[in-house]
Amino acid sequence: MDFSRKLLSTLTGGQTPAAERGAEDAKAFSDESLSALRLSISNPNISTSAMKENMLRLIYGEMMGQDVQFGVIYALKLAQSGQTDLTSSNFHYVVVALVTLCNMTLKDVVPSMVGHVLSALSHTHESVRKRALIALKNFYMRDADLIAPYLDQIKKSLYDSEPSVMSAALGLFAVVVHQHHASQMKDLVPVLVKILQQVVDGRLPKGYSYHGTAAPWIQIRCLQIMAQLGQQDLSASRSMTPAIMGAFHKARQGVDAAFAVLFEIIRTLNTFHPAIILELCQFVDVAQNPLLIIPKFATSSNQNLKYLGISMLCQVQPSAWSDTWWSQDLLAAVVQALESRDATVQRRALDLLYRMLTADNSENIIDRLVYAFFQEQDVSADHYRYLQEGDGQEHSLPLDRISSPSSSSTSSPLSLSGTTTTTTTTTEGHVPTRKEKILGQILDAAERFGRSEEWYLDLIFDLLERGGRVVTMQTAEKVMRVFERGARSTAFNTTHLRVLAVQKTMHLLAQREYLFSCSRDTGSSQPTLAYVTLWLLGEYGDDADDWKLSTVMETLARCLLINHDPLIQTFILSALTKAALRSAPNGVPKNVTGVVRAYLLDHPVSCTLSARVQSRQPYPSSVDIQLRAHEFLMIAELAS
Amino acid sequence: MINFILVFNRQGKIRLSRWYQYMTDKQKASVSQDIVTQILARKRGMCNILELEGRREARGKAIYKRYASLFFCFGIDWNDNELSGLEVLHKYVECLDQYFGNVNELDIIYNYSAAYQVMDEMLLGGHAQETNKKIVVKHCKGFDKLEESDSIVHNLRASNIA
Repeated sequence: MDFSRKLLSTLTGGQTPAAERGAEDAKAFSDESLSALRLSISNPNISTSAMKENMLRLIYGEMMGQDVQFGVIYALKLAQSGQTDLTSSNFHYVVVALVTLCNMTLKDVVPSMVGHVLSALSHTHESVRKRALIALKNFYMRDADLIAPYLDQIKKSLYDSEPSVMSAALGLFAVVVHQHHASQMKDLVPVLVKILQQVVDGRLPKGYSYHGTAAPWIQIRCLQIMAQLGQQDLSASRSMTPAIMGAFHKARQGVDAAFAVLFEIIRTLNTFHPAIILELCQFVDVAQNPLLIIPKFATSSNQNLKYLGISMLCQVQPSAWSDTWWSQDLLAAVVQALESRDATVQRRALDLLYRMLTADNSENIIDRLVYAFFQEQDVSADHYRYLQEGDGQEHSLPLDRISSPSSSSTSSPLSLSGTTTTTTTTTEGHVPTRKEKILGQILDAAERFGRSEEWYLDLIFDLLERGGRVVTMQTAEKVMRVFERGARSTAFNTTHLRVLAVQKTMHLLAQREYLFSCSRDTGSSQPTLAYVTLWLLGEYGDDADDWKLSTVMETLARCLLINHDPLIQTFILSALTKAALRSAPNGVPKNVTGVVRAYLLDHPVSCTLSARVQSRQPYPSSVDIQLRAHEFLMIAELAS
Repeated sequence: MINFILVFNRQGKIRLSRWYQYMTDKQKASVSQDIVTQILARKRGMCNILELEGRREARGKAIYKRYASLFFCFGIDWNDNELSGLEVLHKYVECLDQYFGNVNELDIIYNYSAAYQVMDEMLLGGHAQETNKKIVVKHCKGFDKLEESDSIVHNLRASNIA
């Protein structure tokens, strides 16, 4: 490419004496070549190779940041020949056309092209057939239903004599099985077994073996499809296991790519029906127990293999962990990985630890998780605004609505918003970051394996306070649920938990002089702590023996006076109302009602548009607060 | 599947890039910048796998390997086999080597279209479609010959007219 060579030589030549002149020269050169390009490109009698040269110059100009809009129309004209090329007799053209189809992202073009591509499936030249399959895979990913009726026809390609075509067909089916119903593809099982056996036996042409392993990529693709097919199905798993063990034996002797195959084998075996792996893990001999390979990976000095070893450990279900293959070395290797300076390996080891949680080692592991949590960098605010906006609307209104005075546990704060499961939630396809994931893990683990309520409360309060933006309303709800329903840990007594929580809150409030954070926009998570603690006071304030309900209510009133954040005030008022419901014999202290009345007088209902805009809430907060305050006053009167 | 391919040098200049997922130009620029800085910060003994997160668009892992002055990086899905990706990477470099004959960074800079051609022969739609080195190189050279013969024919025609 003389063009770029000239350009580069002017750039490098100009650097020694005067850099600015070099840049100017380069610019002059590129300007002049651009005008030359303009002339030559509009020449109708141009040959294709010269046209290609022009296209390349266009791309180069684009990379250099010049204005090449004039060339776009010529590029488009060239690209349009795609459709005719598909039916061309010269196979090279067909190949190029198919390649463009593969890279294309337009959905509308697909239906018109499908017919041509299907006919290309039976082309004489193998590279055409191969690309046709990949184009079909591409189409399938865009629009599955379009290709579904042709799948039987495509299955014939699996029997193709050319290995690369077969491999491409495997790729297509990998996508099909992954995205859709594995049950429909069960008839693939015998084919896959046969293919795997053929590859492992070395019946493919010599060119396909890579560093001693026979066609590793074909093997891996087979294994991936098998994993999906055998997932719940015991009989299918059994029929595929012998072939896989054959591949395992071969792979054990190899290097490099063989390790990749081994990894895939372990993954496949673990995705199968659990009975298979449980049976296999009992054997002591490495020839029969594939899990014995894992220590070799994890204790290796090669960091990549270490990473894979720990990944493999993560995949094996805990019930299959037997002493036959879990050795001291393995344990030492895992501990070493935790301390590793390599962030990737460290994270994996942490994931593994999470799976190893039992009641005994929970505190230790959770400490590590907490440490990792605070180490992680927080992602930008937009990420969490996505979460808040989606749920904020639903939360504000039904929060703490009183249901009935008798039962203290029915007023659950959330009914409308997305239900939280024990794992991290995904709302509208939201992908949890690592920090969120760790937070979810900590909360989950602490609840299930916590040893003492005090420790749990300390942990939660600490997280809520220092957690940063990750601690959202959803986190607060998860915590509230634990108090409401009781933790799953056997060491926790729910009533005791609540009592301790209330005690802790009162201490905290006294320490801080009833002041929570100043504003919500700083991104600190102190508000979340506020919400949870206020809710606690409201729900369980009367359970504590140390304080009378009236003291609790006075505390709440003091909070109301000091905190000006609307949402916090909402929480305070709801808590007051709940407490008032339970204060039947003694009634609400006069000073508390006095405070609320004074508050109402100070903040008259002025729901003008400007006030709403200023407060930046999604709902008219002043009206909501007024409402709750009035409710409280009414109930206070009834109670006394 | 492979979501993108990046080839860059030690100064962080991107020499080749190929995206198998749809992303706007701005997203591509920010994702590639992000990955380049992360990979350049890694030390020698660390493993060749990087976990990408935070951005919705570029979820998954990045595997990379350094060959002389160039870093080759593939972005793969979360559940993909990392070692097999590394082997595909190595295979690609081997193909480049055979096509150019002892490839170095300058070859890739001057003949980037050929490098992309080899890439397309080997990888398509995010998967390795041809792992036989001989066939890949044979096809690429076949295309070159086609071009040459085309231009010869054209020149002959042009000279006849003139």
